[in-house]
Amino acid sequence: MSESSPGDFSVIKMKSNAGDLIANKKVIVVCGSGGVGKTTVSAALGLLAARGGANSLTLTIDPARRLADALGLDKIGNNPTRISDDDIAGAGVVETVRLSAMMLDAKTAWDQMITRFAPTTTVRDRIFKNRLYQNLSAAFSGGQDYAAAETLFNLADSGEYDLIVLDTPPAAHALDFLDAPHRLVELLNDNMVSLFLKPTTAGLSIFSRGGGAFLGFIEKLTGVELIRDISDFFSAIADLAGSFKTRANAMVDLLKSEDTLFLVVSGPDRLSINEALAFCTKLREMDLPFGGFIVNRLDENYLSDPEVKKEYGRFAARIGSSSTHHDQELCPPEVDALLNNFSNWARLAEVEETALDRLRESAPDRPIIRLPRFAHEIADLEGIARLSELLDDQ
Amino acid sequence: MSPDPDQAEELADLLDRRLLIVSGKGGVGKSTVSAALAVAAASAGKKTLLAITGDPRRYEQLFDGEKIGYRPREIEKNLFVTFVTPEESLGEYLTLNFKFTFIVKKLLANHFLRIFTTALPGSDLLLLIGKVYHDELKKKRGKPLYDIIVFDAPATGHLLTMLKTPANVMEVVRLGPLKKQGLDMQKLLTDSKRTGILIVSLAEEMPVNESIELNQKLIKGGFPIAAAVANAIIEAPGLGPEAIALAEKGLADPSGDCKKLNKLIGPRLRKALVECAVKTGSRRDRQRERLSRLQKNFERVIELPYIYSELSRRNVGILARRFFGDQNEK
Repeated sequence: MSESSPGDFSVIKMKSNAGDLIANKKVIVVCGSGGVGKTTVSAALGLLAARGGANSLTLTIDPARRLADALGLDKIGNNPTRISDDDIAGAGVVETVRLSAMMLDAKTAWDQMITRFAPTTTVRDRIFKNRLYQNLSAAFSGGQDYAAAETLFNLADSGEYDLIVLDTPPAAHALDFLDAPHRLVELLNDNMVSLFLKPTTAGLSIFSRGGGAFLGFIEKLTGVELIRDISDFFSAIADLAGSFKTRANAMVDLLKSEDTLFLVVSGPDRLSINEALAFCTKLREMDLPFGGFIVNRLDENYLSDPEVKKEYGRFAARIGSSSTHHDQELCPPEVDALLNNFSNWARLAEVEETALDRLRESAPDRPIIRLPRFAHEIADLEGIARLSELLDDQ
Repeated sequence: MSPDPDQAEELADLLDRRLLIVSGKGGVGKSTVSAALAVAAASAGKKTLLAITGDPRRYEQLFDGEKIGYRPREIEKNLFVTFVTPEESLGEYLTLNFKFTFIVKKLLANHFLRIFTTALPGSDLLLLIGKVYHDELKKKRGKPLYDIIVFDAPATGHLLTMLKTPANVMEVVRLGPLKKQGLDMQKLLTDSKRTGILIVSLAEEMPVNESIELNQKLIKGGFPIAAAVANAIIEAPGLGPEAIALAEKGLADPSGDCKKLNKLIGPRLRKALVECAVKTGSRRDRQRERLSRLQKNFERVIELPYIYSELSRRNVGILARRFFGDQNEK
């Protein structure tokens, strides 16, 4: 059976288990809005792959502290850590696995990148000393995205891991992280940048009247040192622009290749589902290989049992769907409470199923992997192990 | 149930401020809470501006399809909504302060923004606050344009950075109009009479931990916390373990009070009813444990109930009434 190529949405044999989906892939990119459980799902996917024999690495961006502790993550150094066999066994996993995890350190990633691309140590040091650069990786939000892309690329390139699962940065706009390499290149090539390097250069005639006032405005705003810092930064970085561009192209190639798969995680509510649909659309527009949806924290649907559904249907038809059955003088308040409660959850399950239908409609040839809400949030390896089993048990 | 007078007084205190900043991590229901708070303010007679960041489509759904753009638009009586972005804010700032042509302004705003945000970390966030601040200042015929602004801030990780930005940028900026404005912004953000921060959380361990941490950082920074909002609280009235046991017994009794009902409920449904009730009860109990942690760490905790149906304007209204202590769901 052949793999579908990116953008090819002809019907393929539906792989509904996560294990099948991720088999033979080198990179899995886990997308979704903030708060849907991307980090735990990413870790569970990493573990699932490891149980299948892969040497796998999960790269996270902003994990909650408890989870970070559980995975043995240390913010400093931008280095992977292998999770110990003891910890794995303690979580109830019987197979021997090679599972590593890593938390992105954007500052270090940038420093490593500059070191790699700077033609001389002088150029490198000039950049490192620049105040603009020092602020850039830490606070410039595009800087974190770019660092994530760069780190992913290095790791994939190194061939050290069979599979890398990337937990994408939480972003207000879909897939900011994917735009990051080219946005950086654009920034460096920006006409406005040349304004800083050579304020009186021609070719900016439409700005030439505004240009003078514009620079004056910045100077008034911020003081002369900043202009100097910016000018210095861009002229130093100009030497690296070519390398950034080549790198950005290589990153896009990796993301579009057959070895990569994008999965979109969503919550069960309509707002999340809308955002998941938007992610999917954007992936298709960017011609990136979309693998399917993972809907997380689904509430238990008691009506999925056909017998229960039949009995409830009969009952509701006779009593009506009013939530205050007690008014009907049929039963004592405690029974009424039970009935009210059940009908609340039944209504919610129906709403969630309708939302899932929209996912099905938008991508009928892609699986929707369903994960339940757990009684306790997942904050340790045992929870992740449980999740990895469910991912494969669809 | 009629509105609770104590709660009404607390709400009045909240609504006496000029700026309410709603914060919280992704997934806790920040948009819903912001919408509900804005509706509550509007219905209390305050001319309200709801300023949102993030995806406007969420709000379009919460307000049953009302389109939301950059220009503040009155979508209901007393309720204006605006979608704030750094680009638009910068464009507006340039318009107000410099005589550039429209095209130059647009290009500058977009291009310059990237450089600006690289040069001055957090400045995109500064622009968001700046926009809100200017809206707070706006007057028509000497009266403020808005009585209150509800600002749905970017997700928690950035809130502190955003609030500190005026102070940070002031270290870089030397002089001129921006410096004064920055200082005024700082004053506004730390003035508990004019500003209040609400931290939205779920009654779950990790959100509660993060909210408590954020609270401590905000207090340290001198920022005024108005309340924690615990969202999606399962109430399940009358669903204690004794009640469930009694109900189970009643449902199984062919000759008791429920016999008419029992004829309609088959055995499978009966089992599901009980199981569902037990699970709900445990979930509610766990939530109450988390809630009490919040209550220990925040002076004021507002509870908003779980919504079992589609998020819609009607449900936003139900939540809005909860700010008044009104539990009426009709």
